[in-house]
Amino acid sequence: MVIEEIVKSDLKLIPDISSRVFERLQARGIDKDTLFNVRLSFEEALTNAIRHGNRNDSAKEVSIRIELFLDKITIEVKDQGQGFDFHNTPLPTEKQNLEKLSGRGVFLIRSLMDEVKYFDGGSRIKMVKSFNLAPKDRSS
Amino acid sequence: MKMVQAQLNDVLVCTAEGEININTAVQLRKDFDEIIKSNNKKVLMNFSAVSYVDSSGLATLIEMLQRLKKTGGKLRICNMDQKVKNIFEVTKLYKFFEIFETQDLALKDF
Repeated sequence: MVIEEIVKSDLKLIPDISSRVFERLQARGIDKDTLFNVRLSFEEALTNAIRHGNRNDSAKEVSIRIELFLDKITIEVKDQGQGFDFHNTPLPTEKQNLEKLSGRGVFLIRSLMDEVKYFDGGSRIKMVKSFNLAPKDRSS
Repeated sequence: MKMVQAQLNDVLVCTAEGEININTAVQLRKDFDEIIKSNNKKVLMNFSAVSYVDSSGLATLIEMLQRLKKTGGKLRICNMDQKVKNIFEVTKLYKFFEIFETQDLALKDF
């Protein structure tokens, strides 16, 4: 299953986009814990793309590509911004950063997904999560 | 997200329901503004019906804890769903917040 969408840079749209995508994934039998972590990572990536990548510019768009395999899901989110220094994001778990109000999105994605890679200077993220589909879904 | 508030002796128990995400966190911040204005010093967030918290939700909760601490207040959280608790563990925010398994245990700690 492949889901491809191009969405406007509007943070208010995120719940609807996410619901639309994850209803389809839920129907494929992915366990709830995996789905929670993948959904959170997807929404964080989308938030970063809109807020930091496209700087909430409504003229800019975000491209989404989600591919579901039998044993993994891959998600790509691409914005139209300048990218960022993804090698040097401060760790929010360090004592001096623990009380900071921002800087957890990228960390959460890296913690909850199995593989995370940035391309195009940071304006495109590709993340992968492995899982076991329920047997009924394997046979269909 | 909805939040029902109830005063139990000197503790304001806020039972939140739904998702705390980038959009609902805005309302949560407004609710917290009112709580700060009302001068409640002991606030317990019951998360039994909270199904999702993203980084914006975490930021709003951190902000509330900081504001309460500044006025000598306390914030506790209880009855957290395991998936939500995992987010607090991954981000190490369990070191910053005081999180309890049940409402009774949290109330006893105030």
